[in-house]
Amino acid sequence: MVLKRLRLASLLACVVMVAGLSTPSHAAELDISPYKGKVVYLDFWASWCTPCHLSFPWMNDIQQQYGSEGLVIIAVDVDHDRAAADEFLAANRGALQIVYDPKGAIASKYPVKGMPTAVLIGRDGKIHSVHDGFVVNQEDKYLADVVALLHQH
Amino acid sequence: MQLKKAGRVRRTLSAISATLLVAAASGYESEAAAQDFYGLDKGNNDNFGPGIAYSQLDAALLVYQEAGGRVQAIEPTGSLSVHGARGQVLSIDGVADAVSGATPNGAVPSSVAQNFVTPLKASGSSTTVTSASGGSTVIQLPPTPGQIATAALGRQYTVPANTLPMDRGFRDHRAAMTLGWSQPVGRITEVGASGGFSTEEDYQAITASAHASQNFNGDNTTVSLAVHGEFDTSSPFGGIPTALAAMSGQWKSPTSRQKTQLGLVLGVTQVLTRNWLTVLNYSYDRQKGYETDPYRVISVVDPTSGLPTSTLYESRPGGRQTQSVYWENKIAFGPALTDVSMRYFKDDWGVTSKTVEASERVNLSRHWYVEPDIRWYQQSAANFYHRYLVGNQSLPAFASSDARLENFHALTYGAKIGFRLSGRSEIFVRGEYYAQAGTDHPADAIGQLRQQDLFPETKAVYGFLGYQWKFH
Amino acid sequence: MVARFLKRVLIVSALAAACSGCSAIGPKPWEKDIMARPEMQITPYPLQASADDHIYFSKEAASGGRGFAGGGCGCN
Repeated sequence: MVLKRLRLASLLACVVMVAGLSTPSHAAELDISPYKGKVVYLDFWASWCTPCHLSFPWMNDIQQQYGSEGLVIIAVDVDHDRAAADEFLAANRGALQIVYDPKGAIASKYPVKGMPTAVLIGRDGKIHSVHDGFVVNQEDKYLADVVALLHQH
Repeated sequence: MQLKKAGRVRRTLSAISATLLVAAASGYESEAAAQDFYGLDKGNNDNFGPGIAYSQLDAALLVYQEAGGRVQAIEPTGSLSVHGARGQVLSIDGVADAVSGATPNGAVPSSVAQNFVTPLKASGSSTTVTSASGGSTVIQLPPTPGQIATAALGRQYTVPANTLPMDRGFRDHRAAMTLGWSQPVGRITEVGASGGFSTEEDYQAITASAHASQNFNGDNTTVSLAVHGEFDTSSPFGGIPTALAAMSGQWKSPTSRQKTQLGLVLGVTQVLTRNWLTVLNYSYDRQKGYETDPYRVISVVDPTSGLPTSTLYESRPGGRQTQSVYWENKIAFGPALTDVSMRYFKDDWGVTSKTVEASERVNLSRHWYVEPDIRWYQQSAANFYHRYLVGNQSLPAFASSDARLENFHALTYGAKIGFRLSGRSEIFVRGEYYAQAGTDHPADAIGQLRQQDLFPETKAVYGFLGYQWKFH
Repeated sequence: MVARFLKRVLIVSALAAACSGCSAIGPKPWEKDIMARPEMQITPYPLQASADDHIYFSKEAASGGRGFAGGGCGCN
């Protein structure tokens, strides 16, 4: 009985995750509990933020490389203007999971000091580090942080 | 969905581990696909701003024309700034201009024709000019006491009765260049310095400046301090005239005089709301040295008839301190952007001035925008401003009839039309009309001067064609 | 006269400083979309601004404010 329920729940979580991957989520609140046990790279971005144009291809890349090891990248869009976000995504989205946060409801719950900000959440569900901005040639450092978290089991 | 690849990431990954390199390399056959992200040639890549490296080229042409056949100028300018990903900026600016036309010499109009004599060619030269330029003729100057017998030549021009005296031989070229660098230093948001050089046929300036700025309050507040120094050399054609000496065609000495200038600007920029930016600047400037306009003269008139009896070179104090407060607001509402600025200025010559400027930019489409603008300016007279001096009174220490030092107000209005060719380039054209208004007939005018227009106001139109190009 | 002017300046800057002191003023980092527009920069068209400054400098007694005054010009 309990096992059955658990199986149902995990199936539901799976469906939610797949749905989240295929169509952007509209959640005002972000629930990262389904990703417990995974490393969550929570990226706050906007179409008007210039370095965000550089971080997207990089995030796509590491998502593809490390997805199987448990990396989940969630790109939280804070654009007021949904059309601008969609235009940006049409060119840059790749296969990233997108969450819209036009009022900053999610952003205000995390230490976001600028655009973009990446919050790294470990398998334990805790924030381990925060990347302020996306500086070209710092990708090594960003990736090292991600890899280190992936190695923590 | 097909994943697009980035060449730059491959290099990054290779630094992490060899196994990753193999994995990464296997996924990177297509260099063409990589262009979509980093190639920056696709529509999406019109991406310029903080945090990324790009360059910006600005080029412009200013065409300026004053009414009444007065000054006209053509000024091409260019600027290149190279931005690094970490906020470094290298900038090079260049200006050239060609100015010509007639300029009021400072004397009053008279009911009878007047003659004015200025030096000709090089000192002691006896070369004659082949043709009279701008209605002037070459004359033999009367020998001055102690002068060698070979009489010098001068240039004389005649101003008809009831006409504003203007020197039509005015012609000048200027070239200027500025080189600047700025970047973040440690915890300081930005530190920068620049140096420049400007040269005209009769004027040279060397400038240097340094600034530092700091962001606070989630990058919503910027406090900045800039200091500026300038060293000018005035080498007027004909030498430096003695203050309030009679106008003459003789070459004078010394041939040049200097002026130094030191100033600072303290600024606060505050983002008040999502769509409102405000800037408040305080400026202080201190000049020391030669402030006089070496070409400008002032009439001495008969106390009853008001007819000019002699013409003297002007004289200004050997220093000036100015202060100003400048407040600018930029407020965006949808496709409209309102820019309103105000300036209050005061100096120790007795000039106070107020300026209000407003413009409204409206983005009509993705490509087009229009921006009408208006500017109102008012100033009081300098305490040594005199339209003329009166014959029976003793000479003051300083006297200038420069209309720029008179009490007047001015209005500018115009509009700008811009067209964005793409996300990376833009072309615009701007047309402005500028008109000063002062007291043409002061109540205390003497004799014939009551019939004359005593404020030689400037009215000008100018066009500005600009091009801006950003690239990687 | 200058002292009174300076005093006025000090009051204004003190007010400005007081304003910037309260960190509640201003948008959050994710609300900077409008500020990120090129036309919201303080001097988006530097050549146009310097041409204006140059013209007014050569015709009026007051100059500067926005940045530095002058810049080597006999400007008759």
